[in-house]
Amino acid sequence: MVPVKFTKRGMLFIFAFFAAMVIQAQQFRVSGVVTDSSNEPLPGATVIVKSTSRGTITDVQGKYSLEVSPDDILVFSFVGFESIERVVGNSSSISVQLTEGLALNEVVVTALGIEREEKALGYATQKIGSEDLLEARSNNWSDALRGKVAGLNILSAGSGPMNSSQISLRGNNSLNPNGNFALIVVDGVPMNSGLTSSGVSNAYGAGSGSDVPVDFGNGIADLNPDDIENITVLKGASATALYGSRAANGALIITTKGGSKQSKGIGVSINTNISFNDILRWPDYQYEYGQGTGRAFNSDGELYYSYGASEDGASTGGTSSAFGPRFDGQSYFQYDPTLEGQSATRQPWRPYRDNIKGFWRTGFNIINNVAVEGSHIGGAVRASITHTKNEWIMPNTGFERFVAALSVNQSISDKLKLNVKANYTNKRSDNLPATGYNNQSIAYFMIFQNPNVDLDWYRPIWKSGQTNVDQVHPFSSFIDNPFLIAYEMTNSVNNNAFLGNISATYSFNEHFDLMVRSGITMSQEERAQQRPYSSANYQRGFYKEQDITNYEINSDFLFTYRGKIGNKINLSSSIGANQMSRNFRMISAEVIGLVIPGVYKLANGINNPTVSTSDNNRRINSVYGLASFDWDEKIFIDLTGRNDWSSTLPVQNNSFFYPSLSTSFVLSDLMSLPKPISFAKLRISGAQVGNDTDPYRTSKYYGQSEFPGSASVPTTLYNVDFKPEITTSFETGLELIFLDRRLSLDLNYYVAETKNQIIQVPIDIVTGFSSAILNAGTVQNKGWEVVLNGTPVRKGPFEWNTTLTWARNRNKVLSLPDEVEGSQVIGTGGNATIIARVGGTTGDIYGFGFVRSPEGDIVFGSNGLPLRPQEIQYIGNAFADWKGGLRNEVSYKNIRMSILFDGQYGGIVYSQTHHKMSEQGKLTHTLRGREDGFLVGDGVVQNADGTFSPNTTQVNLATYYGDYYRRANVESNSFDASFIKLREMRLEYAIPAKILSRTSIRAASLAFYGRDLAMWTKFPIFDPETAALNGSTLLPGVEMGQLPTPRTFGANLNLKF
Amino acid sequence: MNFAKKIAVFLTFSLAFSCTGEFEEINTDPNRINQISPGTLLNPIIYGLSSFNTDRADAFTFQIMQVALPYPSANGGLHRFDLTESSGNSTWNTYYRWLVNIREMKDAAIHAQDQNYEAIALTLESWVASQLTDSFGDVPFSEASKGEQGIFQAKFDLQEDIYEAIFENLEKANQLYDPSKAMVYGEDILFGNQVGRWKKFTNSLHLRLLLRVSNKKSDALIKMASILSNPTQYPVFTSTEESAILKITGVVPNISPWGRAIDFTTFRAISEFFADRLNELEDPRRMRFMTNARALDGTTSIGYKGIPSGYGGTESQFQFIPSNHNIALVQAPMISLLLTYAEVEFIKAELAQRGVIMGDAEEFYQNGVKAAMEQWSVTLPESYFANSFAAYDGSLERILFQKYIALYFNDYQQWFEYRRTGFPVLPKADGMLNDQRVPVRFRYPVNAQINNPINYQEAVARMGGDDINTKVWWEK
Repeated sequence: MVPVKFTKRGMLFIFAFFAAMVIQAQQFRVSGVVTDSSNEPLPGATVIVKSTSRGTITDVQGKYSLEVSPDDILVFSFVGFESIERVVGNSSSISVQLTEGLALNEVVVTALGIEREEKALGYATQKIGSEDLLEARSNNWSDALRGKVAGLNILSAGSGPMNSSQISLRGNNSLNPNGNFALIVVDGVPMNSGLTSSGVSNAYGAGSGSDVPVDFGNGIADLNPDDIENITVLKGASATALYGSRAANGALIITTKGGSKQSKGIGVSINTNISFNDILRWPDYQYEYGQGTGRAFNSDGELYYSYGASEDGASTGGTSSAFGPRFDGQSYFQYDPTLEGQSATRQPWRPYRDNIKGFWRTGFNIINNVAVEGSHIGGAVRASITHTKNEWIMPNTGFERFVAALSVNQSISDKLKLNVKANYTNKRSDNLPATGYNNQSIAYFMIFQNPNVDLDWYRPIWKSGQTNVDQVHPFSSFIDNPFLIAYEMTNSVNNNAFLGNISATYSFNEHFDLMVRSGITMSQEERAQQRPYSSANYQRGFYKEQDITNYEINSDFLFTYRGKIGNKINLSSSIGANQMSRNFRMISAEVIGLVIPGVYKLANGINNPTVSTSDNNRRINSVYGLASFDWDEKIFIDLTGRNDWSSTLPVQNNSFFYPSLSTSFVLSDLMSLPKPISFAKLRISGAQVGNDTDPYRTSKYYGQSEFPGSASVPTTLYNVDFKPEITTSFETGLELIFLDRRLSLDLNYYVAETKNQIIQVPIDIVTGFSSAILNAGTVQNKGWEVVLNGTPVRKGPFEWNTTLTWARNRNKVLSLPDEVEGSQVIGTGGNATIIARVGGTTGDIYGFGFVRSPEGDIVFGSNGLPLRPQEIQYIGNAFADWKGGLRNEVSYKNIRMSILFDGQYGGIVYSQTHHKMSEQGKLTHTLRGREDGFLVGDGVVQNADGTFSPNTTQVNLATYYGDYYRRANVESNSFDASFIKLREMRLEYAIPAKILSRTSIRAASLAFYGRDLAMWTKFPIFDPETAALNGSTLLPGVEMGQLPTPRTFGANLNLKF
Repeated sequence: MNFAKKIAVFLTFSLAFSCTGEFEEINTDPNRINQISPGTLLNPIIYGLSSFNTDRADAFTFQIMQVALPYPSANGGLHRFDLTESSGNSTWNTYYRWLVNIREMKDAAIHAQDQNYEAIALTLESWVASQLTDSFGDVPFSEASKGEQGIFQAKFDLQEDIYEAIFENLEKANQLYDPSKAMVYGEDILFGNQVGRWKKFTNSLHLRLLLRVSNKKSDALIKMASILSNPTQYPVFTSTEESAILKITGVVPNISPWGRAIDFTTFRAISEFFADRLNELEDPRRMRFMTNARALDGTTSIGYKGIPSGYGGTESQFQFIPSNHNIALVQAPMISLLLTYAEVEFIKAELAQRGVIMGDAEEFYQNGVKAAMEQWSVTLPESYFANSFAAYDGSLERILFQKYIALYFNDYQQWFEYRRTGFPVLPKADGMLNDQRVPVRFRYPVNAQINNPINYQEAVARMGGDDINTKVWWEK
């Protein structure tokens, strides 16, 4: 045989080969109609011959017709309905009525797109329908999963309209903060959810002369929720072992809508969504005292103020602190915006209470979606177009997105089915906000703004006659003008993305079929960042362009056999292979300093642009097999095995195999249970999943230098001998349904251990390298997941449903590389460091705290300030003890109302904003002691004899707050991150069919909703659900210049024709 | 269905095994280089170290040595000797980062059998090693830069041993130079491939470092005398032209270390000590170094006037706007000092004053002052030494005070020299912490404690503590 390379051309060849085959058998034809409980036809329902892959789907009238033999059993199924089986016998016409079902017989999409009955699964899954995603929309559909999926955690930086998020399931398995995220699979094709850094790797960048991180969004947010049919959450490795390395942390299997449900020819649905945003919550800013260091006194010994030196004294207008005089009706020489300098006369000393909040505006978001769908014999088509326009709460920020989606499925014959999905997205923004703590972020301005400064003074942006050259920022040269930030320091993006796949399934006969599929996701993104003249970091401006091309091709096939062993054992086994090939290239060019102010072109640079490129290419080949047995549909056993070959691992270690075994026992069918229990199922499963690493880590490459012909030694030490990471997991669960589904419980327990972790370890620079890539360390996660469903009231048209989800995860570091001596730094944000230590967790925050006496009192020094410890200590954990959500839905006739609360208990967040605003006297808690001008710290001092006595030393206020809340004091700037949020609230009215019957409208509904409406928490800044955006890494438990969290009010109109 | 099975088997194996052959190519970075020449690393090393040193001269040395201070400065600050556990982090990280580059350069030079590049690498290695050990005391040296060989916890070498290695390297480097052989691997940004100047740098550095340890190392002075008496074998700098001064052109990537030049002058003041002493000298360098102080009206010049470093009390006591840095010092084109001819002359003056070498101490002193002005493009006024504050008075203090001005903006040199000699005598202020004692070293970075605890503990025990007041070997 000639070896065939598995390329796209090869695939076409194989496809054509099978398509040409025609296999006939001696059979007769059976036909019928599939309807729902109200006798409406069900188009698109599946009719298959049991234990084979032969089958068809119903047409628009719900009709089907199929070649069968007398002893065949037909299985009728439809998503959301209970399946029905009928023996063919001699009848040539079989019509069935399907009833809408709950979980147990539902079809679930599992790994590799294999559809399974829910009861056959030996591992935990959770399904989210499209209504759950659309109920209370936000910019990122993944927000809609919050509080609804037990064990799911969403990490996002709170960084603007894109608000990139990373989804993790069942805790953080990896010591690499980027290695914890669930795989997202869209119609069988994995999508890249990674972030591409804007080139700034640290959210804390004040005064560093560098730029700020900008959240340009990741692929997740670009999925259009209107096109999603449902999402199956596969939580553990047992569920995803067949997906291989990339799904070691679980997977979200997204099925997009196809045209199938429409019953009368062509159907059109129109959805319009309008929402408005304001700000959920503000820190407690103080507006009682104005600008001042707290140390400038006039000849009367009183605090005074003077913008610029005046007869009142030296200038006090340069500081960013607010320890100045009280607003008492007095007058001082202040800034005069018309003079762009000191006022001619003393002006009233007053606060401007709206000088931070007033910067923000009401954001709005409009989404219009039109979908057309239709079906005919053997096939269905759906096309949809969605346009989103977002104006974010920060002036001059927002984005526009256009999505076109097409889905076609067609049975070419009884044996050959073809399925094509294509999705194009264009996303563009003229400006996205910068995040982090740096002159160019608006978060920085909000921290530095003083109570006595009118926001309007900044509005001219440029000094008169100095347009594009010199900005108005009269108080400190460190703070850039907020309107300059919003209107001139822009970060624009234009992204074109295509996601598509084509698959064909051919049934050779009743036992064998073959599926071949090829999918591609690609995106091309252009970014530009402009920084004007006179900005603090770029006196002569700056301009940067980034071009990013990213594509991934997945080609796979699956060959399946279905049959029976004896009477009771059904067998299905598959063998398949996949090739994944991924290419990434980024070209960045920048000029520091512009010749002509305000002209943002690389050609306008003072020097030649500096250009850098970066590539990231990899390939994984895989072979896998699956065998499923069931005994009389009461006991189910699945066995899988997969072998991967990865290009990123050293040749000697690049092949790795891992198996899984999962079992499901339908107890209610196996034994007799007490009557209230309608259904019971026990799941037990175990799995291993291997994982590879990033490319180019197995040999030495010198770092790029801007000096011609030069380079420097890499800062990260390579490794020639990686082994793949292996995650071993075990889970068991119990599913119980009581009282004919009035109450159901799904309980799950899991343990997962990841060993041989491939991690980038910070090492002592003495070695010549600041980090090394090592292959060691074991992390364990174990936890419980509970989903409780109930229908407390169901009376006639009135129904009340309630759902509780709850999950707790315990994370533990079992071992670490010898090289790191028992402690591994996972990430650093400001002065907070997340360090993994053996016995600790991967979310332990360390930093300097207070020195405490044996009684636990804070020990102060003779200067009245807290003693500074010599060594960093454990401050707290970034992970919550547990998370939960409670959803209630009440429906009465055409009105439906739902309300969702969710929250977490435990976890801490270190807040840079709190540190700086306390040091500067900007928060109300710093009002304590103002009248006296000094404070005595609450604690003790150590006497010469070693005993402790109360601290009595008075300290200047500004000194006290500056020291007590110093940046390095992670203890005083960290807060309990527990919270409860009123996450979603919604009221929907479906217009009765009676009214609609006279129109061409088939269904119409109008809904009003709110999102993130209220929050209860002790966290003092905007939102405890936060993370620091360090380049392409989201670091949990650290707040570095957060942007406000929007609160959303919206309305949704849905029409179906 | 045998045929179908055959197809499945065929597909499986052809897919799995046909493509792994390309893996090596896929896993090769198309961008970055994996081989270097002896010159590949040189310019990044020179620029990296020089720009860092210049930045630190401002951020650290100016404050500790009362050249300038942040102003207003409510509390704390380096000028009040408020050193934190992280004050030495950048020093540690930067020097070790470039040390490994220098060592790889050395290996590449040996591999290419290019003696000049090897000598340059040995010189740079000695330079970085001395900066490190003078800043911290005992530091990893012999086992440093060996991550690739698997040494993750390097032992800390005694400072005395590090200096022995440095002197061996410098001696060897001096012998290796071959001026007849051109430097062919790119043009170096410091000396423009003039081997002779590199050689003079090697020997001038040798002098600096011998002097530094001369209180502890008995034969150091003898060695210095022998170097100075044999300029053919040991040529040293003989003019400012030849000095190791990096010209920062402003053409990317050779740009000012100040991303924001205003950071150099925002909330800064010249120290009263520095301004007053230069005023006594009527020193022409004042206009190069600083701006005029002004009255509170913001316009009336009141001459050069500073704020006392380490001041206590409130800002209200200073009813004027003090002199500030001249921002032009950090705007390209600018200079970054590594080791100057002026320093060599001051070394000679000290040796002559102490009777170690023959020669007229006053002449060396005056040469040093003249050169120290030249390097900032300032001409020595004819009447300069007529001023009794400027005239050579035979004392070491006088020499070292002018050396202090000559070392302005030259990394940590003012601080190192102060620790060696106690000169210049710096005023104390009631706002100063640390019992008003000038700190004599940085604490080891927290990272060293975390990543290398056993060797760290051993070094701390040996040195008598990891404290900012723990004296290093040559200072004891």
